[in-house]
Amino acid sequence: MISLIFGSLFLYFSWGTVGFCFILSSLVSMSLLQQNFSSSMNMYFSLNYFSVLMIFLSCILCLLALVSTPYEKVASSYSICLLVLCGVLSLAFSMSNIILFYIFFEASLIPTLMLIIGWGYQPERLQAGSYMMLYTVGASLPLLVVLIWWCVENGSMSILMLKNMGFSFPIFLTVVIYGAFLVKLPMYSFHLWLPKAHVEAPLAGSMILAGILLKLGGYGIFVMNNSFCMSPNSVSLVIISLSMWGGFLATMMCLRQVDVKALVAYSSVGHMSIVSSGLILDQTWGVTSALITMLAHGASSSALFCLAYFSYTKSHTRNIPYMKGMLQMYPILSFAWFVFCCINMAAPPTLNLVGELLVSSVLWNYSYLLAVVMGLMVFFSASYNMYLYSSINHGFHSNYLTGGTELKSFEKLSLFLHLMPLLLLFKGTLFIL
Amino acid sequence: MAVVLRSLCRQGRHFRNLSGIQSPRIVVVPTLKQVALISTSKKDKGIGATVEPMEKSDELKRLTERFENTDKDNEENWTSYGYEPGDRDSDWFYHHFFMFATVTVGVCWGGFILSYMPDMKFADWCQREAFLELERRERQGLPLVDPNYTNPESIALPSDEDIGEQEIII
Repeated sequence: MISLIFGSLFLYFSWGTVGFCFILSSLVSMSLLQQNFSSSMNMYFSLNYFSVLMIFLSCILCLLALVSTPYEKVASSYSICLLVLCGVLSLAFSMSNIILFYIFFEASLIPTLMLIIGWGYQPERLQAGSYMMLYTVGASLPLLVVLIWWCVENGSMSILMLKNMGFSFPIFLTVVIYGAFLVKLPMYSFHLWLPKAHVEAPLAGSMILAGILLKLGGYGIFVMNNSFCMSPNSVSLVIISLSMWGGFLATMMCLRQVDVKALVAYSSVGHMSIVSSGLILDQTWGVTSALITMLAHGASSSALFCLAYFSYTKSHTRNIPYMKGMLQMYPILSFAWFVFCCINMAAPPTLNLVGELLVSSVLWNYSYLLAVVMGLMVFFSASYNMYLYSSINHGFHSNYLTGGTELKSFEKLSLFLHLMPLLLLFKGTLFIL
Repeated sequence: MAVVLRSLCRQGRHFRNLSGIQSPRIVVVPTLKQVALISTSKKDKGIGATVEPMEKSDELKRLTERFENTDKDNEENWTSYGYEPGDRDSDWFYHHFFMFATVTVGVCWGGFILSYMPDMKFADWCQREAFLELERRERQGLPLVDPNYTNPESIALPSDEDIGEQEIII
């Protein structure tokens, strides 16, 4: 599958070929779910259900990014960026060597930066790119040092070998080990790069950032739990508390946003706080909840960014008050806003709801106060989604919303395909680890 | 009947007047007055009310003339699917290609593969084995859920002499 992705780089490719490559990769990654053992590995590659679902998500999102932006197909470098990004992500999710995982984790930043700088709209994208790079690299360099020390101590770089060694390490290193991935997720205190990067990125950049690159942080926490045999300790409790309270604050920040892309970006911070808590607590339901939330958020957040871009093409502004009254002018777009706002607020029956319910019991098991914060976050999540829908669609149409053509075929197809990963709700056995 | 009932129900203010001694006329006449008499003029089709149609504005005339031709094969009436606004054939191709590749291949074939994938994660096998095991235990009169993972009598523990002073950590 990886040869399929990278092979497309060398063959004479057109935009359609790249799209078909992503579709085939998605189907092949689905077939990887059929395994006889809970994980399979060789010297370089290791696949378990977590990593296969993440590979599936990355192929799907790269396909959706391609379909949603047909106007960019003039530049072949755009398709190259997406191909390289998909390949690097697939490799990152399938590595059994911890140093190689780190290398591909960092390597995914380069095509992302190229997408932001090359196809972003505003001059602020330069600062946004710098923020993203500095935050991520700054937090991950200490991790590299710790990883090298750990591999030398244990005499192996293989995740499976490290898992079975069982050596202990100083508790304060928990911050360093989790740090890089908490910045990537992002956790509340390290989240400043996210609104900037999401807002300044082009549509494909935003979709892939929100859809899969944040999940790389979650997968990294999962790998670190395995490699360092980590269990919740006193430092982890501080991180979980900060993460949950930060997620609650981020959901309240959404109610203050004027820029629609910034609102969706802050909502990602809230959802990822659930993921980080579920993974750090390292219980079966917690990890399952994190996996489900990552898949569901990947699809729904990407769809919201699509909708924000399609609304931007109609109203030529990202300001929420200026694009009000869309229900009068573009009812199909309005319907799509309604559906994806409902999915984002975890209305039943959606995968998002399953993820939030599973993590609630894990949090309650640890401390009932965390469950209280979770309840508040769920409430405010519903409120900002309703605010978002109502502000954009209800009321008399603004003067910025002039009459125009209805949604094009590729826009409707992109929004329809975003619903497909969410239908995995009906294949619940996929998420049983 | 309905008229009578309706009339009777609307006599509230008239019944108030019955507290004094009044002639029945006070009740009868207002009751009968509830019946509405409707009449219309004769339908004389010879006389018609003509309405002068509003004169079209110049802009409306211009627009009507411009959009008169609704022939789909006309080049001017073509609307793009969005993939290639300039090239009609390429746009048609990309639309049909992506619809086939994503919906037919991805959603339909992929959904079929995922739905009928043989026993993903051994879920069906586990359920079958669990029922077989329950049936075996019922047949042999064993407890359905045994607190002992294995038969304790089959475990051979070392004697105290063999253990000696070795620390045992559980």
